[in-house]
Amino acid sequence: MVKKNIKRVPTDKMKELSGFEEVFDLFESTEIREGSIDPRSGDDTFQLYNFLENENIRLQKLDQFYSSKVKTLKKHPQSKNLLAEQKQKKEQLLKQLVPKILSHDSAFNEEMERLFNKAFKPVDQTTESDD
Amino acid sequence: MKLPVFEEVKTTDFSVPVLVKLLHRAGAGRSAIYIHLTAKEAEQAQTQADAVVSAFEQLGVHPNLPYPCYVISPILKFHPVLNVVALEQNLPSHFRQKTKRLKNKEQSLLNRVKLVSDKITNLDLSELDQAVKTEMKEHKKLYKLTRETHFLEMLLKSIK
Repeated sequence: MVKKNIKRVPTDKMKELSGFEEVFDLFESTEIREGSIDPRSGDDTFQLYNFLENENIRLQKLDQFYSSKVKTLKKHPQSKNLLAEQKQKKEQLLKQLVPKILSHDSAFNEEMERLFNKAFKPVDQTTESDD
Repeated sequence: MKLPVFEEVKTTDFSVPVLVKLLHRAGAGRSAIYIHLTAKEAEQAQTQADAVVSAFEQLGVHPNLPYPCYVISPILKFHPVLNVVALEQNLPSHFRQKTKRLKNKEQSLLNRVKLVSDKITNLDLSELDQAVKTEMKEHKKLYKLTRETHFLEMLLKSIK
């Protein structure tokens, strides 16, 4: 028995072929049917190719990071210099800040005084003021 | 060369010599790997994950570079070396591909992939990894210090 080869043709193509049905019948081994092309026929290749391309890009990025960027970082480390610079800056700021805060009429001391007075006001005074 | 897609390592015996054999057979370092941890307690799961790391060390393969190794366990929440996921469905879809016979274009691309992965494998990854970790620690310190300095600057401005 001859196995029939079924070909699927999209609807718009099928309209173009109308009138030729009799000619198709001459080819016994093939049968043409209306319907979309099997989606599984071509997608696999594309998926695999896409995966390999993405994998290639991923590996190249890893290679660039480990073989050039990290090696440059090891040769010319910057963190220690930056840390030292920040520490120096912090010390300078503290030297400016501490005398300002420690002075008797500083904004900090005044604010602390206000908070203290508010929190530890004698009970009698509060009740009187409430009345 | 095989496609670098997910390979499962099935085992209930988490002794290091057995894991070394299984990982070698699964192509550790040449494809992504996942292992189901059978432990039902957190401590046991931690021990099993540590055994996997030791097996990788014995093989002389980095557990995450160039291809990652995942352990699947709903109990273990974190491991310092391995990637942990709770379910198999949570594994990255990137490495989940159906294998089939490759066409010429795909084969040439796979050869290129192999070349780059070999280049990465030939690097001294453990030393480079250590350098990255040290740098990360320094950056954390720098971040904290910079925030502190910024706060002091703002304070000084507001007092003036």
